[in-house]
Amino acid sequence: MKKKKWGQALYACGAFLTLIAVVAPAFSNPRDDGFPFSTYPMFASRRKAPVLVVAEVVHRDGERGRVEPSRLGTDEVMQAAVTLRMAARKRSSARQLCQKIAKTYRDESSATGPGKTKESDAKRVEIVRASFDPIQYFLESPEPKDRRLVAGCAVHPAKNKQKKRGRKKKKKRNSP
Amino acid sequence: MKTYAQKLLVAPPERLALFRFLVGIFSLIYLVARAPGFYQTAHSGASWRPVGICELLPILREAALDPLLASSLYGATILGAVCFTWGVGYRWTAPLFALLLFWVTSYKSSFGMVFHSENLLLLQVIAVAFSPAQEVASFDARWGWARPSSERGRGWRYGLPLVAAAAFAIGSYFVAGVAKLKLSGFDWITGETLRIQIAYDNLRKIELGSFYSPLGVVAVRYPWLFPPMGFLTVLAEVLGVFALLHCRIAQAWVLLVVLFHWGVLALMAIVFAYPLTGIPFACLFFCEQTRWGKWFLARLPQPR
Repeated sequence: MKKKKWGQALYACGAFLTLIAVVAPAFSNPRDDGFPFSTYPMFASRRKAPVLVVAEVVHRDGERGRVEPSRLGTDEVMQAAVTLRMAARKRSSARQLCQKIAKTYRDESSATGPGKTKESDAKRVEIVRASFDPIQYFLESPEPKDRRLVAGCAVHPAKNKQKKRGRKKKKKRNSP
Repeated sequence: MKTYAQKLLVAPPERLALFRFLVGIFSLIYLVARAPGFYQTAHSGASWRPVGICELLPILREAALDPLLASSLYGATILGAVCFTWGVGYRWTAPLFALLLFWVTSYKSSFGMVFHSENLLLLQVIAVAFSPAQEVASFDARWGWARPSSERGRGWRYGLPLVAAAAFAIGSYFVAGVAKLKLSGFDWITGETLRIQIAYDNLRKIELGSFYSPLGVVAVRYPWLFPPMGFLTVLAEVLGVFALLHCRIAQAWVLLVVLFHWGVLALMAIVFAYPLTGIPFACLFFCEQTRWGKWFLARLPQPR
């Protein structure tokens, strides 16, 4: 019986301490997030002119589209956003990510054949930093207020290099 | 006169067992449904930023585990969820399941993005895993490995885990409400921050090529929708502690919180699966006396 009472007292202490740990983040900086004792800062901030890092795909017809999170190795959009944001901190890592995304389009093109689907028609991948006004995005225009290219790469780089060499040879032949 | 919390503290073993079953069955379904996503995360090669148990234990802190090992541990967690739900070898399997779930949820949040949709599930699993939730309505009870004695009956050894689980839920929402007031102040209560948040979240999803909420996109055009939503959200989060005073307050609070989560789903296409079901709040009520509670209990393993 005594053993049971000790067990119950221990449980009560543990529960109380856990509750302290759950509530304690309310008294710290909300941006000092953690797990599992979180400050739950999501939805809490004012976001007047957020800057997003996005990955765009440029198709052969010039049309631009968005790269889905799955091409960044995750099905979670927030994880994709963090991956892009962290890659954009350095040009080299942005280029690396760009090439990784381009490879997914290249592999798809090899599997289905070029021009068969929209994805296999991809020509170029770009990582872009853009700032938006969230309300005006939906009320007026989805165009960003500011847009800067961080890194870009061709989906089929070898073919592009051959084309460039071919153009250079043509220029040499045609020149006097 | 006893407060509602005092009445909740003196609980029968059936109430705790029913809560164990509900939390367990949700965990099991959730883990199975999320398995492909976890597999993708384990193989993503994304940068490693350990949190939770991955940050605490040196052996886990250095680098992400081998994907095969990570997947195996995930499988073991699913097995643990089965034992937890049906009370099989509960005394050992339940704490082990809580530990494995801690690892799974920490691991998923250690690739650069801390998720907030699993904290409450983990905390409530911990609350129940170290309690005598298997003494009735479990395979342990059927096989004679655990049984409530006639001396124990109703008591706070069954009620305390339920009140703890309720306190973890109320505490979590309190912290979320405080964060909103600290970071946005009055703008959150007037709805301005909420409107921008909904617009921003949908914008981000569109720009990242993901599924977004068409209803949220339409709602942003009507600013008058947001002051009542903002006010009620902060009210529900910060004043949850009053739910422990009276049953009616508890019902109103739970309704507000569950509606909040359905609103988040409708306007932002963000799923907080656990609170959407209402299961985390079952610990606040005398569920074993309801029709659905009796229905579940009748179908759980009983002593021969």
